[in-house]
This record gives sequence, C-alpha cells and structure tokens, in this order.
Amino acid sequence: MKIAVAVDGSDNALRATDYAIMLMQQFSGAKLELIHVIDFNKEDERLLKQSPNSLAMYQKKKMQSALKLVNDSGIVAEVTMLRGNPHQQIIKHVNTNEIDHLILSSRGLKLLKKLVMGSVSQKVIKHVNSSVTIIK
Amino acid sequence: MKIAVAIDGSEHAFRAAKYALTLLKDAQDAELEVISVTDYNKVEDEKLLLQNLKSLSLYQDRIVRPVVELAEKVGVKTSITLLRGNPDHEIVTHLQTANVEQLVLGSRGMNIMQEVVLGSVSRSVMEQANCPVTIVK
Repeated sequence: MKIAVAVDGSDNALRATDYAIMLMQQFSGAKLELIHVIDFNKEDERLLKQSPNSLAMYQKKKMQSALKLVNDSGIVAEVTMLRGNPHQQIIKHVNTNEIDHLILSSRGLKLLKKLVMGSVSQKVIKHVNSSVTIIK
Repeated sequence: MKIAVAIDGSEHAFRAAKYALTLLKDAQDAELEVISVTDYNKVEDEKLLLQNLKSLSLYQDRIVRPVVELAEKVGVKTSITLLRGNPDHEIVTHLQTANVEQLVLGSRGMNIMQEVVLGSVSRSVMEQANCPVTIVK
C-alpha cells in the first residue's frame, strides 16, 4: 500500500497530511510519500527557476511543516519534488509509481476563480488510477 | 468516528464500503452510515417502484443489505439512511445535518460524454460536501 499526499505549504495541506498519518496507522506496512509541485507559470515561482539552489530551498520550505508533522508521529516519508503543471505532474507521478491512495486538499476556490484557473483536484480525480481523498 | 458511505448496489460502491470499514475497524465508537438514494428521474424500474411503497423499500433493502452484512462481519455498528430524489443534492443536504466525519464514494469511471450527459454524482458531491470526501476507484 502506497499513500501519497500533495502538499503546497498551506494549512489545508497540513490537514491532508494529518489524514495521511491516520491512514498510515490503519494500514500496517504502508509507505508514505509527500509530493510538492512547483509551477513555473506562477510569477514568483518562475523567478526561482533562475537559481537551482534557491529553488530547492523554496521547495524544502514548502514541505517543512508537513514533513515535521510526519516525523513527529514516527513515520518515515519519502519526499518527491516535481516541476511543471501541478495536475499533470501529479497524475503522471501517481500513475507511474503505482500509488494506491492519493490525498489532496481543496483550496476552496470560488466558482469564478475555479472556472478561470481550473480546479487541480477535479482534473486529478478524473485521471488518476488510485483512490483519492479530498480534505476540505 | 462515524463514516458515511453512499452506495448504489454497484461493485464500486461495495469497494468504497470496504475501504470505510478498514478505517473503522480499530476506531472507537465506530459507526458506518450507509446511504442509498433512489433517483426517480433516472432508472425506469425505479420510477415504476414509486407506485408501490412496499416494493420500493424492498428494492432499497436489496442494495443496502450486502454492505450491512459486511459491516456486521467486521463488527462495526451500522445505520441506514434511505433518501429519495436527486442523488448529489440529497447526499449534500443530508451531510449538512448528519454528524459525519467523512464520506466515501465509489467512482463509476464514466468517460467524458457520459459525464456531460448524466452528470457525475461524485464530482458535485465532492465540491459541495462539508467534510473530507474519498473517491474509491
């Protein structure tokens, strides 16, 4: 059993991590993986592309709180950093690595924003082969 | 811990129930709420059943029973909620009043055309529900 959580440094992602820890305790022998995707189409993240060093630091910072939560509960998690379009990267990663359960947090976008930006979680649910949990 | 599972008698829904039960197995005060919604607008035989209340409850009972039996085997307490009407709307409204920690749904794996025509229940429930939602594939 492989469980993956997509984290982005938000409070919602922390709640998703909490849920993953709860799942880990239910399924013995399960593996946990934290995924962070950096989106180069976003302004501030594009700037970081110029220096690989600061990029790595940025991603580390985004994952830190989730990683701490996991370590505090005595679980060893694998960390995966992806770069590119968030939903595409997540779908590809989940399907190629045979992950059984993916946990996402919803950003709770308003309807208009959702139409303009597209909801990452909708697309992911549609295309991944694993079960998906959306944390509100 | 109380987990709700929405079932429609399909294999996918049964897997969703199994997942909910693995979560509940070791939990304290574990309770599985089995929700079944009969949609009058959808299936021909469901519409026919409307004419006879007794056959309607028999029909819903047949859908719910396998899940309840499974829960009994694992030793998890169950409660059954039978709703009538539009599935996604009924489920979301029910969740607002029910004290449920999370909802588990099965995915029917529809393609884009089916989804446009039929509308995906899991999608609209997922968007509107006020608790964590798991889609089991």
